Amino acid sequence: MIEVKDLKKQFLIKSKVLGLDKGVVNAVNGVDFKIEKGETLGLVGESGSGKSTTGRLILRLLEPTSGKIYLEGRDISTISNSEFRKLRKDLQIVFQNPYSALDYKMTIEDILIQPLQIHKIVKPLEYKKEVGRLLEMVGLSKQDGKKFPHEFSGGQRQRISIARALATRPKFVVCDEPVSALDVSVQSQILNLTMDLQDEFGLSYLFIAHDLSVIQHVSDRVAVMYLGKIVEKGGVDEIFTSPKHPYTKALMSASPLPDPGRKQERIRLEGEIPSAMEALGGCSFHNRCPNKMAKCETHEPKLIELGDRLISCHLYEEKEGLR
Amino acid sequence: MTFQAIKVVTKKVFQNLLMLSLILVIVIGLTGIPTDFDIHSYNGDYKANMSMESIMESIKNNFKIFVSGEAFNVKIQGQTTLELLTKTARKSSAILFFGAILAVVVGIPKGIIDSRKKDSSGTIKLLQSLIPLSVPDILTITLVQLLAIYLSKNEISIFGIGPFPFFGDETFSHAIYPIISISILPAAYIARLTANEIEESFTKSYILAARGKGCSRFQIIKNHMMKGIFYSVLSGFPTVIGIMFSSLIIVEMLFNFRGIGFYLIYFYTTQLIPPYEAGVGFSLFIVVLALFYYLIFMIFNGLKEILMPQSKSS
Repeated sequence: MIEVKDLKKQFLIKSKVLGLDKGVVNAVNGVDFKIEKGETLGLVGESGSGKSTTGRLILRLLEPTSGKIYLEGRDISTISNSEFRKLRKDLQIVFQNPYSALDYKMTIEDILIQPLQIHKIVKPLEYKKEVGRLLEMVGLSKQDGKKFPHEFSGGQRQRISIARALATRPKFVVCDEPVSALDVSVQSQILNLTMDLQDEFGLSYLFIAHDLSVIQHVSDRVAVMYLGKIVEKGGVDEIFTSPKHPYTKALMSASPLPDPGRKQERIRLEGEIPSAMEALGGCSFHNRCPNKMAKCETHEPKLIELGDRLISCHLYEEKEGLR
Repeated sequence: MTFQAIKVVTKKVFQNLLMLSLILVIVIGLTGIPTDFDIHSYNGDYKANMSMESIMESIKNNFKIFVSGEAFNVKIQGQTTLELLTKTARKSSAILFFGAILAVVVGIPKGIIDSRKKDSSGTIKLLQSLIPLSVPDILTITLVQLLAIYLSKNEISIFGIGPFPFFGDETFSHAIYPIISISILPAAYIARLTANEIEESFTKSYILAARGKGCSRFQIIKNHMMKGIFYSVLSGFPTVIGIMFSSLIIVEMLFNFRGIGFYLIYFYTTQLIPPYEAGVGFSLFIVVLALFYYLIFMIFNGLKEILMPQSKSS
């Protein structure tokens, strides 16, 4: 369905005084993954690791610096903007903040009619009927179409965002932290709704979140990102039951367990995630890694296969080599 | 209307009336100072040509003239001040009104064009708006007048229209250059407001969502930003009016367009009208100008309160 190859995004930092180049931020630094039809890939990592940027690059809301994006085998990374606008029908996004994602000046009906008009999904006479259908699909009533966004709660607004994303009958949806701005009680409703809709329409999701329990709940496969790179990728059960990469282990250990009787050892990482502007030599995680080796400071690890998963760590390269 | 709303409206009206009265008192007081008042330097010492008592007497008289209504009936060159005021106010209103419309009609599309930052000609477009805002308005207006003279002398017409007269006020075509001149600065200001609003809006999630839906740039501006631009221009309009009123005197003087601004300077500088009549005329015209400005200012502030959602919620 969607395939991303060596995707990179660099942001130029310019000085405020003369507009001179001050440096480059490598927000996404060579990301590869593939998402099949009806599959959910969970993208997890700390704030600033490049998760949201990756999602926006796929939808060309940001232009990639390099790399390829394929939709059903067709390279969509280099096609013109006007041509890509036609393809937007198949690629949609649900944003993190439902309070800012809906235009406060438009009624819900107008918000939902717009994509129908642009992509000619239904005939103009059927717009209102289709809006009613979309609202009912996400658990709202037809009458809600006449209201403005401020008349809804956060959870209801996120339902509207989902309805808007599904209005074009897309094949692939980027869910950019769709529940992190919502109350815990509402989060499960939204997650279940996204999963139900996936089953109904065979949607593919790139599900971005920093909440591991959310990722575990919705994903088929998981990719862990650190400083713009994928450090570990594999099946959701595999990654959650036996994380291999030191960063994934630390991330998992920070996630609270629902059983108060069970105890887990917390791995505390030292220091903050380095700035994406500082080009660290070797492995990007080496300055915080509890298993650091001399090689880690000088050589960048490659993404290697380890069973059914992919991992980028010298620790496992060595083990692979010994085998 | 609820009691709370009535209370708020009454309070606002009272505040504005109080402010207006204060402004009128200051203006009448200041314009009561005799027009021939002067301070001379003599042997390193500064001396006024009249005593403080006579200045205060003159200010008191000025208030009396206004309160009694005599200010409207003083004869100047064969007509009463009220007749002269009506005639000139009509002319000034015409150039202010059409100037404001032209500024909006030119300023908003210019702002939309300027907001295309990625375009290689972005800096040039930005400068086109920033230069008129940075240079003194007299220079901009003089340049328009020079162009007008050049076009007229060489009988050059644009799209078969013109050349227009560049001096006087007999017909509407005499008002074309004053209207253009008075609208340049406000148009540049509105263009900056529009461009800033668009640049800010493009980072908002609902705009990203609109792009995600497949909206073109034009559709995004038309459907999601036009209201924001309208609110932004509306809230900036009191400043626009201020700019226009400050340019009014220069425009009318340079193009010999005999409106309120022209007569203000004329009353102050001419030797053809006796000082008393000139003084009363000057006071009356400046009071009316202040009143006029404040009324327009109030109307736009009121509109902003009613129409802008942010103001409503606050």
